[in-house]
Amino acid sequence: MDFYAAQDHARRSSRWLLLWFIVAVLLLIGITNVLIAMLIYFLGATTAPMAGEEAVRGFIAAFSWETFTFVCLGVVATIFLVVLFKWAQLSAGGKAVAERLGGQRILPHTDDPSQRRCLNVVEEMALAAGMPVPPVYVLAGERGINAFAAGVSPADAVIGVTQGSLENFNREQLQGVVAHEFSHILNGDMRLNIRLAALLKGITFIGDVGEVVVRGGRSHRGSLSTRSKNRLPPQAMAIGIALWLIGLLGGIFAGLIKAAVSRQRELLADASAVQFTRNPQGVADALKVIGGYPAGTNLLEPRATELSHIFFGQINQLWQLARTHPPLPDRIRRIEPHWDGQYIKVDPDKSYRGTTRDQQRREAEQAEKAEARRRQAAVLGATVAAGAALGGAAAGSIEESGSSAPDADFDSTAAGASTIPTDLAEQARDPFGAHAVVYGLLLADGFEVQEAQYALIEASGVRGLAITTRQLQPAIAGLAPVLRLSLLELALPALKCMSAQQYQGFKDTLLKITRADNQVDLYEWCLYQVVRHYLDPEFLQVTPSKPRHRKPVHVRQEYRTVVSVLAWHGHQDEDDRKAAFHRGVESVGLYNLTLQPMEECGVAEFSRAVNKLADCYPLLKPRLLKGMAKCAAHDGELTPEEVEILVAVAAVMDCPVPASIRSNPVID
Amino acid sequence: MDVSSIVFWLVLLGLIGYIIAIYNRLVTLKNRYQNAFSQIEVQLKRRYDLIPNLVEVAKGYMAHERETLDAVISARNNAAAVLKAIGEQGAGGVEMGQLAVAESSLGKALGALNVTMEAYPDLKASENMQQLSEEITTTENRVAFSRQGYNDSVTAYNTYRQSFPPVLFATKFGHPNDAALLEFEDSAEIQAAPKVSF
Repeated sequence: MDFYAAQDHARRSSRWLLLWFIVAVLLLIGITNVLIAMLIYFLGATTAPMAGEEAVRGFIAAFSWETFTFVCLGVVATIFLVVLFKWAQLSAGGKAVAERLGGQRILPHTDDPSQRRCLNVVEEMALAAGMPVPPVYVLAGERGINAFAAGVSPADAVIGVTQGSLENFNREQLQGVVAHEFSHILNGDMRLNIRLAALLKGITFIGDVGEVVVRGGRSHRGSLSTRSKNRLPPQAMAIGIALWLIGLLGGIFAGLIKAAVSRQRELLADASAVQFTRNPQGVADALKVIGGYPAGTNLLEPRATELSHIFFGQINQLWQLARTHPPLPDRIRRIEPHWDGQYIKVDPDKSYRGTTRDQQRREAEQAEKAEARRRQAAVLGATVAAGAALGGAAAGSIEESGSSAPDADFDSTAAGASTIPTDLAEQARDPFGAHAVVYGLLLADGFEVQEAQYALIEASGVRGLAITTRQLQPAIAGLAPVLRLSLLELALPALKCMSAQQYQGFKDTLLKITRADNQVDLYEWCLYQVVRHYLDPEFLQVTPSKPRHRKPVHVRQEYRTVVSVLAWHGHQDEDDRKAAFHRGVESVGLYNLTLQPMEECGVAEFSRAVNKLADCYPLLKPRLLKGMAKCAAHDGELTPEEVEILVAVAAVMDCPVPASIRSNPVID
Repeated sequence: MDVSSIVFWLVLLGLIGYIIAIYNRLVTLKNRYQNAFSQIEVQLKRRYDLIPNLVEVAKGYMAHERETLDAVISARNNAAAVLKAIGEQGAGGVEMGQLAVAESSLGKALGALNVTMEAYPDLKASENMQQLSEEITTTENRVAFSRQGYNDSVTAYNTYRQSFPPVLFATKFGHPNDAALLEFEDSAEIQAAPKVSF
């Protein structure tokens, strides 16, 4: 098939349909107008019903420009509000949609071969489409073969597949399906769908108005009959019913158009899938497999029905015109014009479904593998530790060259992990263990406070978390202070696997734990800020701060506070402290400042100061951070505390950590 | 100011805006295809990193096939060295040629290894090997898809550069040449009809 031509055709048809949709909206608004004018006329006609020409003249009189404008404004404003409301409801991020459908995120280090394969395929397609790699969700309980893409923009898009498709598709077919979903993301179909659904609500709203008129008429009759005989005339009732009917018809009409648009977008996505894979066989075969599969594309999850337009295959079998997807044979013939009508029956032995049968064998193997991995990790840890002296220097040079490649980042963390016990490192890489690790890092020294903190962890509602934290506590407490930050960084990627809701709970618990001893010390503040900085963008809409301060002079006081805190932590000698302070202050061009006394360097003041520094212009931030680093490094060594403060300040300021900090080998 | 001069200035303003848009679009498209090229580099490097693992696993089962394994490793080292040189000095025509040669000899060595592996069913059935072969498959695909992505973005750039209004400005804006598409280094071999002898 010529996919360029097919794409062009599909795009043009859906543009036509969109135009039809707008015409329908306008027409309905117009009709409402006329009807409401009639309503006003009939309500105004208190005298006996007029007849003939007089009635027509009276009606035209009621149809004045003033009422027309009011009605127009009223209708448009209400529809606008309704659309806005619906929009906000529908445009929840892709992750929220996937979770609502019961999806579980596939973790990057999954052991399951079919999930591994799926992740690989998604990454391949991201390359072909030139897009960031979206998170992948699996609907574990679904035997039907289906897949979906959700999210408004490529940045928050996710891809979901059912267990059925993981098991029944081969690599090429899966590739075709994933490419189909990618093209939905790239063509902006999710946004289009949301727009259409919101407009649809706007139209059916006219029907709601009719309903209100009819109901209102009845209640009027009830309340007013005792006071006067001025009832709602039967004509008004008739108009209300007419409005209702029109809204109903309009809703159906609009729904049909929406389904037709959706069908065109499906064909477009099929064509684009061929563009990405350059392999028409993949998508075509995937469709044939669906055709030959008894469960088809059906899903058990009832919520899937309202989201039927985001799936790969039709969810609910409706009559032809209301379907959101074209019939299977049509779709196959578009890709493969000479198809012989034969579906593909998947041989259960050759599919991944065979895995369920020898589940026990697999489980035994899993345990064995985990054991092997632990041994391997131990060996790796030893070798890395041996090479740490060399490795540290190499990591330093990578950092200094200004590269921010994830590889370099990973290397430095891995080098740091060499002296973190392997068990602890393994826990930190697992989403559940990572929770325990972060909580464990925040545990206080005193026995009573610790018990209170365990109680708080228990109260967070995650089963077994308090016990795991208790188990990890000795290892974390015995950790060299330099490694605390490395351990935290190790745990952060795994924490990204939470849902937005879980993240809220996690943050709440973190705050409660830090406040368990009724005070927040600097270390707790730093840890919390680092966690927040890395994870907030993953789950919340983060608005970047508005730059306000252009010159160091504008943040003179705040900078003084931060540098003073740095000078107090990590410099023993009084003279040393002062010299370090002056070095930090003067290196950014601020003079005539004195070291702030210890009493004025509390966490509250510090936090306020750092937050104000975050409002500096982007070019000023690295300058200030470098000055702070100079202050910290004045005595020729960076204590772990100083590094923690600097990293946290950099996190709050949303600015990369100066190279001189990171290149410092954190291995004692 | 009369109407005609207002119209004149408006048209002029619009024209300038349009030319600025052309300039920016050319820059965007050029950066896009350059980025696509660096994706290929990343994927090639990934592939070179995986091959030692493959050989390591295979060694346990086919100790007698030393030659085949050595050939794979030396071809891999060769290609990795060329890629590293390109990464450090930037890609010239000569280096790209070298990379193409190194890649094709690596491809041949891997092909030979695959054929040899057919004779060792134990090796093919081992779980390590199955995992590894999934990794290798996806890496091969990634190399192919990143090449395809590169060619797609080059095509978009060239098409835009050659289309009507931009073609008037492209040379002046620093886009004098079409970007080169990646081609098979052995396209002559592919196009030749397969020889069948009885």
